[in-house]
Amino acid sequence: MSKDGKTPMLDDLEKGAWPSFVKEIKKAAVKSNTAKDLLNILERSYRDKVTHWKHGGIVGVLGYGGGVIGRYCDLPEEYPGVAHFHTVRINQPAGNYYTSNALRELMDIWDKYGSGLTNMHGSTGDLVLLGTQTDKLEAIFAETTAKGWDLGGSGSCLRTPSCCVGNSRCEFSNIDSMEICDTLTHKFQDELHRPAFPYKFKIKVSGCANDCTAAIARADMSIIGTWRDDIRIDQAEVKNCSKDMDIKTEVCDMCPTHCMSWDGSTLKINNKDCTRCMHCINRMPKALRPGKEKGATIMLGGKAPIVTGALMSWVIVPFMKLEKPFDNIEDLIRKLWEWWDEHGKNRERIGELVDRMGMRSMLESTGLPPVPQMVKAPRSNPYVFWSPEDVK
Amino acid sequence: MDAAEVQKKVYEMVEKMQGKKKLKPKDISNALEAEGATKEEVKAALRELIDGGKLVYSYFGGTAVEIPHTEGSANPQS
Repeated sequence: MSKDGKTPMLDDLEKGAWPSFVKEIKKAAVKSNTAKDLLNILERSYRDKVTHWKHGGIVGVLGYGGGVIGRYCDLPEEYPGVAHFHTVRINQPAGNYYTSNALRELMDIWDKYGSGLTNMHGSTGDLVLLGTQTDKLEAIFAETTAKGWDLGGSGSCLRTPSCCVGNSRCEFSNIDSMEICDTLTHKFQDELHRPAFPYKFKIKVSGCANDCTAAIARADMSIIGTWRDDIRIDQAEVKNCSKDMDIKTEVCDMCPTHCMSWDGSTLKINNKDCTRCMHCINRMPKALRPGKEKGATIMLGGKAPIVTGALMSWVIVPFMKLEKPFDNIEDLIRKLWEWWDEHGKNRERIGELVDRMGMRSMLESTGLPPVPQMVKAPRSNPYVFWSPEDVK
Repeated sequence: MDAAEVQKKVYEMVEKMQGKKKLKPKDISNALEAEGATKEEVKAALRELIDGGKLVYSYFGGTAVEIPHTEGSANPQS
């Protein structure tokens, strides 16, 4: 920032029809010196072409290994408002449902102790409070927990599980994603707050293959609602749909496994070839519905490219019934953690470990049966290497 | 090993490595399991020490356990 308090480079980011984070920080800067200095140091960073943030690794609240991410600036004398700029992660409610009263209470606490800036929500799912000082952390923790909130996960631990709105607002949800997310969050409190893993582990729950939480790309474990029986068809409604759309082009030809046909009067589906991708149901929601035998596909290994390249999750359990108290999924997760804990290197995500050690090791330790749905790509090596136990 | 003994060993291990190597909870667990403690005992000892404020978690690309100190990057509070 120039000494006259102008931020020409940031101002440029306010132009255009889209929302601007600069505009929002400027609003907060009217009453917050932290937000004001955040603008100033950001302008300075853009000008210097170098970050002025330093990593703080030890700040937190007593007893918790995560939930606070430490940041300091390297020019505290020039920008005292952001000398400390720690982030606090608050565990979001399942489905991101808030009452306006709950949000007001939380924001009152945040106005009292922090910059007033938030990120709703971070990529893990947490409600993120941006910018506070070390000596405010315990007070923030005490006041937020007194209102029923808790910190989310950070560090080498289970990150805050997140989910879509599920049955609460979506008629196509095949599982109670909110209940699953809430239950797993409560079951794994120790793993969430006391980091003991080789690296982070994310769980995301989507009610159907539309995957509104983008679990496949972002979560180490994706729990995706699906069904095992046949798609329910209302042929009369299919005919109605045909008045407004070309069913062959828009539905049948776009089916990834081409398991559907339309002869102008009847829609046929070869359910054996259907991958439950939701495309046809999305296009004709009144005519087609998921089957009645519902459960979830469990997938493993999604991650962004940090240590090694990005991975998409792949199937490890094609269909699992998920009903309260969800002991079956808890049991599987604990077995996977045990295997990862045993073999994982520091900062190695579970998907990377599967890539390094192979599916066999993971399947043997978890007791999962190998199934065709686990195949990610055709084998390039024509040789099959049997383990000594297999050829006894 | 009784709980107090495990806690003492955990603390001594962290103290010995302070400033030299950032010990991960898994490193501590592996070392003490080799001495006869169980994973659960080490976990419980870490919990006691962390809850009592004698040790803290830190994060630099991965989580470690350290004795509380003012870190080098910390700016003094005004």
